[in-house]
Amino acid sequence: MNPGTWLFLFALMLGSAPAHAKDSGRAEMESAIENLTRIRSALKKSATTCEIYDPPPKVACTFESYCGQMTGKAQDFYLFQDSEGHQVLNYQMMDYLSMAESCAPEAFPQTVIQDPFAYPEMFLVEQAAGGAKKLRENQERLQKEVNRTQGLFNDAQKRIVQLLQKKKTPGNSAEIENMISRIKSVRFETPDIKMNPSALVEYGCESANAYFDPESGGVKVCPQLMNLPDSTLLFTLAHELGHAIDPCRMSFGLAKTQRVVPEWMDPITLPAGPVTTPAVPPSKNPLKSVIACLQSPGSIGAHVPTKEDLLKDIDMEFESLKELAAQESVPGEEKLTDLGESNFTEEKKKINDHYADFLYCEELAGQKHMQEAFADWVGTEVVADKVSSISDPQKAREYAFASSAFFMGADCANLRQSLTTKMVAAVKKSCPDLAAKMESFGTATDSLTELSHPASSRRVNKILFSHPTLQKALNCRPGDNGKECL
Amino acid sequence: MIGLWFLYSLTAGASEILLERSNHLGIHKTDLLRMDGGKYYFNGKDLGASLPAPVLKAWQEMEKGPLPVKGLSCPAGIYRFTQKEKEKTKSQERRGCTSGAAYAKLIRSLEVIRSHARGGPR
Repeated sequence: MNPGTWLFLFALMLGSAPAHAKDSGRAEMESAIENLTRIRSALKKSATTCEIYDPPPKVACTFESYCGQMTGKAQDFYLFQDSEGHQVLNYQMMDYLSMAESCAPEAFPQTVIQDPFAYPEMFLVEQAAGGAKKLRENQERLQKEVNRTQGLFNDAQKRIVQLLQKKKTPGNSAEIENMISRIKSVRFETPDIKMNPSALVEYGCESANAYFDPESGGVKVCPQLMNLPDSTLLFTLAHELGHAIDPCRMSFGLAKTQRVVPEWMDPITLPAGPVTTPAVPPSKNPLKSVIACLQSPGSIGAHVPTKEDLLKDIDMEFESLKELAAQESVPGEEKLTDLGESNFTEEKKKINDHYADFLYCEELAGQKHMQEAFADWVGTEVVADKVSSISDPQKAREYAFASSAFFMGADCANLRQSLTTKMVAAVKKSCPDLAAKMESFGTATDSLTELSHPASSRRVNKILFSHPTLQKALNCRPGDNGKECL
Repeated sequence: MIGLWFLYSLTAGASEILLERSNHLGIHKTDLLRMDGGKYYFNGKDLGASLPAPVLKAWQEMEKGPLPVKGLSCPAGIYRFTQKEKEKTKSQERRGCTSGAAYAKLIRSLEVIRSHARGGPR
């Protein structure tokens, strides 16, 4: 064959191969759009026909057991709805759908449904809301839910004060009063609904969230949360209020509502002012029997590193720095190691000097499982107190179950698995990389969450559904539960 | 010469950014940006070899990563930003809080890219 023929054949290949690829690519994309349209239609239908969820009796009182009962709802927009019409979103589904939609650009200019609690930009942006009138309606609806949430916050605050009063003895009266004054000082905070989406992220509301802010001394509640059922909100708000008196927070004095951070912990920030509420060290904490119980294997076994563990970690870190310095030895390296040594010595001194007072704090121990377990205990006590006042068994069961519904919406493993299978199948041909990524997200354990919180299943099984009042209301069989901490 | 440039563009600049975050209530989100063979990928979606100027700027902002912000703890949640160059065996990791101005700036850039991948705002 002469060079001209080779060139002709090469040009033919260049011209025809992409045309074939284009045709098959177009067909695959059309199929992906078709699959996603079907999923979105089913989601829309599920949202409009969402029925009140009645938790089944006689099942095991465990997270896994209730998650198993909800497998059929894996592809529903809402995972749970109470008799008042308040809903728990299927948060995992929303995450997957958002990823899958990027496989078919421009195919889905509209959100699945018009729910501003699912798409909070509808509270903030006229175009997203669908016009000025709709934006105003959404904002009015939010204001109504803000008022409801504020009412539940006040209720949680009142119930925690009552719980603490019951714990008062002649020997711990001052410390209990200290806790009560801390609880009473916590303010309910929510972002201004006139802010822009970026300001919402700045506030900590990129997704549905609520948290106790130790700097302001307030509980910050994001708008995305405010359509949750009363019970889900009551548990969440009581949990956040619980952080105001958690075993770490009690180690800090307060200047009005702001915590006073000791200089060894933060030498830069100016002190918040004179101490108005003194610190209560762990040795004098009036709830130390609860704290010890939450640490025990019979309960959630909240991990609190020992002083020796923390010192050993510093030594190990220093050893690996020395090894690295030896491997990548360059002039001046010795000085760097010397500098490292003085930092490590300082860190060890902090632990030796302050471990006894701050052992439960993330700032010293590097994790906060005890703080979270304690806040869950407070949340559970508050919900149990409320459930015990509901005489209708049906309503009591719904209330008890809904207290855990947020955990289910965010973390049921079987729902995640089912969603992964469905979404991967929808986009596998047209977006294989995306499908592979979804598969890896679907199986990965979330080590980031585990750094700060015990696993959802343990929180529900070992604390929330371990409470006899909630077990009775749920009419469930004790399963892998923990002991009640008193 | 053109062939050499073509080969270079296929292999150069291979890098990956993984942004994982988990808020205080345990809601987690993950986004993956990858550049490989001269192409941009967002969460596995091929965005092609070139990006419109504002999207490219956002991509470059993401490559710079979040500004380190001092804080004793992260009550709203935490993120982990992992950046890996294909040629290097080790990856760089930064952690921080999922609130505050620096984090919001990072997410603004991410949303510009997401919106482009989806085909526009809604």
